[in-house]
Amino acid sequence: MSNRKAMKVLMVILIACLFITTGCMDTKKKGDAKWALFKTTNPNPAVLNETSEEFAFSEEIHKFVLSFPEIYDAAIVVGDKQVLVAYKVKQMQRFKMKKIEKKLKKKLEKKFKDQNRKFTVSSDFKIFLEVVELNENLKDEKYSRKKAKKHFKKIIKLEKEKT
Amino acid sequence: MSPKQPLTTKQKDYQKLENKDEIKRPLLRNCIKAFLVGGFICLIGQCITVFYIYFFNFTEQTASNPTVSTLVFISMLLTGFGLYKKLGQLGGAGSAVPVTGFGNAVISAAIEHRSEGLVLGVGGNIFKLAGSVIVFGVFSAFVVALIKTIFQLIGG
Repeated sequence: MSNRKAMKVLMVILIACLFITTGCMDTKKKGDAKWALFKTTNPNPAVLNETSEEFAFSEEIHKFVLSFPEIYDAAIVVGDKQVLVAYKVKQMQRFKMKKIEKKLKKKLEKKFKDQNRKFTVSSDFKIFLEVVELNENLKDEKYSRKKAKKHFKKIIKLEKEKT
Repeated sequence: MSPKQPLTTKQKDYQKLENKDEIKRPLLRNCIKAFLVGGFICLIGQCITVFYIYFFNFTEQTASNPTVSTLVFISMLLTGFGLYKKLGQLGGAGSAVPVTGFGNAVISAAIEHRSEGLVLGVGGNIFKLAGSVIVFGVFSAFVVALIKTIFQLIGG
């Protein structure tokens, strides 16, 4: 097969793969979620039960997480019994990722002991993206809260997945 | 092993002559080329990882598996179409060290022996180059898992 022909075949296969895989996409990401992987978004923390105490609590967590010098972006969702904290670590600090995760979880649990909630912290980009997406959805008042809780559970399950 | 024989005068003269006319290896240039080609392959890998994270349900940890498979698949296609050897000529180790080199090793061995038949030729030789890598990977993973299991049993 000549080189030009081989290139053409390869291009067709690659483009076909691209179309097939992107065709599987079911929903379009909106708002901040579009660029959450690449830009600093720092979204306002979201709460599943919209009460003023919950909002205050989530704001407090957000401030606390951003007070860490290694962290530059944080997305938070406060649920009934669980709090999900997704964050981005500064590039050169990524070598100490595990250490930062442990430190953050320990300090969060210590500071908000009285809240009796389980903290799930993650520096994973996917978790961050999902949290921002959930946050964007929660801004829409028509979005059902039942769906939001389901999405929240799905993110926590995804965080626990290792392989 | 026998001790090294000292060079005769004739041999020394020949070596001098050889050194004078020998073209020096462009070591630095080769290193830079390998770095750039290897880096470019890794950049493509990173893009594929981001693609899997963004469009599918893969986390940073789990996205590495499909990324590796995709890269190996692409390098296999490129080898089959005879394009990977050009990249290899340009990048040297830069194209062999990343995981794409593995795909190239498998397919190039298969292509080389296809004239000997499908079973004894392709089947018997497809893993001639990459087989040791697979065996080493599987065996070392087994040993590490065994050590971890023993430690967990002892440590609770």
